[in-house]
Amino acid sequence: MVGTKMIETLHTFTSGDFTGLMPEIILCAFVLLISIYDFMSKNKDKEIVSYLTQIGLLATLISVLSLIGDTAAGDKAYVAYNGMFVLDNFAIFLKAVVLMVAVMTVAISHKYNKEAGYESGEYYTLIMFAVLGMMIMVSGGDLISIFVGLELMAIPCYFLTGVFKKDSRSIEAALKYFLMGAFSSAVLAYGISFVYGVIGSTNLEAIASFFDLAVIAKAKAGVGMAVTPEIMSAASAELATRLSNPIFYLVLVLFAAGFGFKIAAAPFHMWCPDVYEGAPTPITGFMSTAVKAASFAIFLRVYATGLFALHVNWAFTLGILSALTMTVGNFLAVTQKSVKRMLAYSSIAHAGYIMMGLVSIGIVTFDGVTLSINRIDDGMASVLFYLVTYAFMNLGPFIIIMMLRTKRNSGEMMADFHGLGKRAPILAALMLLFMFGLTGLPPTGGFIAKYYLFYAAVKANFTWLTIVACVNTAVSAFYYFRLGMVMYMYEPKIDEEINASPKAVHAVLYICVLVTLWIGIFPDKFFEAAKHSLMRLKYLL
Amino acid sequence: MDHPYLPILILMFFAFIFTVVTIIMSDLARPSKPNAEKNSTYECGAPIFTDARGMVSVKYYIIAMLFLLFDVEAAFLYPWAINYDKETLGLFGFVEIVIFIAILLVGYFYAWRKEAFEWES
Repeated sequence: MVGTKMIETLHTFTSGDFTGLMPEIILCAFVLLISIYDFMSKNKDKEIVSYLTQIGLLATLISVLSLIGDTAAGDKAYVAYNGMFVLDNFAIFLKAVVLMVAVMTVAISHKYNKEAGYESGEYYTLIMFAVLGMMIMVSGGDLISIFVGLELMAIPCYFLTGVFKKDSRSIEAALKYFLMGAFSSAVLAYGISFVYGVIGSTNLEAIASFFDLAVIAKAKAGVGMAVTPEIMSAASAELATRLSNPIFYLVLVLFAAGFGFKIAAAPFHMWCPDVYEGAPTPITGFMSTAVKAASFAIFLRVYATGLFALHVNWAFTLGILSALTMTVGNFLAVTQKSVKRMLAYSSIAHAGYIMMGLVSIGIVTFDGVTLSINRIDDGMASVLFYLVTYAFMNLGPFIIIMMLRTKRNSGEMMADFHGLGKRAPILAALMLLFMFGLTGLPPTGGFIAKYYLFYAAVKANFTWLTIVACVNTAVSAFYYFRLGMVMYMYEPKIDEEINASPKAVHAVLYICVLVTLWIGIFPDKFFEAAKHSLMRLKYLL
Repeated sequence: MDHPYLPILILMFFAFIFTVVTIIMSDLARPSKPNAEKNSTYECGAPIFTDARGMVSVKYYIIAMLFLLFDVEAAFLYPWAINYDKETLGLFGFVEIVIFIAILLVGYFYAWRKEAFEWES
């Protein structure tokens, strides 16, 4: 197998081994060919472009899945371009999730855009570019390639938010998203520059070994020399100096702001409700699932590898941010009149829950003499597990909102849901199921995913955070169930017939339902996949 | 006191002091006879005719963006051309740069097709 290569084997330019990069290459070729087809054809109807996009994304998904065998050996991975590009199980897991969400988004979009009168081929190519950015990002082994991937993801998202060119809400959302997004990227880049300034590298492995006691001791001992106890104590003194460098506090603050913006964590969540409300509904679904999953993944990769040694410094701060995020999200969701906006706040709250898993990736123990950090696999696995569950569980409600749009009503307001149990019994039942999932009730995947997060947090001594999360879950139950009450106990306010949706939309909706239930009832395969994808992240430290 | 950046700090200190002192000194020493002409915004001696917050045609923006795109392309071609060497890069390097240019050409044709180069419309 070509894929199982370690670092330093594929950084020469002439080697021409593109096995691990194949999914990205395939996707890139599809993007270019589809956009050529799109702007050369006279056809105003973009249905064919939509199908071609789905084919391209599925081909990429297949090529990602075909790489599983290559890295299954465990601690090995395909590393290319001086560690800029890393293909490990973690990357494969997230690429698969992102691609699945993207295929579903494209499948539901065509009729929605056509009815709104904003058909464009760019819509599809931009989604593919965003996916390409995410794939590069989750494979980033270097802060620079992560940053490039992040921008390649973010810039198409700004455009996609404003794709309804004559809708003032859409334009406003796009401009807000663009300005704030550009600013937060600048903050992140500033943080990266400090990392480079202190460590002299932006490679995650280099950053990790900067904080590695064994590496420092070896460097102090010199080539081929034994590490004596004196050298060891000198090395640990050196490590202590490195860890207490105040620049890293600045770096952690800048990183928390930069990544926190992307995942919509409080206090960097302000853009989220406006953008989610203004964007076309399929794009809102895409942003709240795929973009969020990819951003969290990279948050996790950076903090679990490069910055893991600084866990003492960031865990508590991020814990507080997590508590703040879920509280702000849940309490503001209660008062919303628009369901789309309510789901945006709920998505902020869920970012708070997932951050709980992020802070639980390590546990600090102090035996009176030395401070040591141990990894908790459950913390990392619970984040991934939640991300995949949330992807399906949260796309569903947006599809239902999309299906409720009629000529005169947006389908987004609470009023559209009044008496839905009578107007469309099946949609109402499915919506209720998704609300159960988002609250975290069995038999949906939401329950298992939340349970796993809480379990990891308690294991990492973040009991206080778990209590905050439990209280928050109770608050969230109020507004999720109120939607249920509105659907079943109120009389319909709207007498318009609900439009028939294309088969593809129904199919995607049922896939979301089935996966949500499947994860809830048989979670073991997903547990395994989540745990398995950590193999190499663990090996890094 | 032997920090390598100390001279720069001293220089910055004196630069700051010099600026402040000069401004204050000249303010004290010079005659002050303002009139409307003198108080108006200085714009290279030409009279001011409109507000600076005027609207600019979006065409300028498109041209600027296209210029940037192909300018960056050219900037990438230089290091490639200098490092091009039959032994190391060879056919592989040639094919790579052709792919790179082809990708940019797609963008060029896209802009063409979308009438980004039509100034009059």
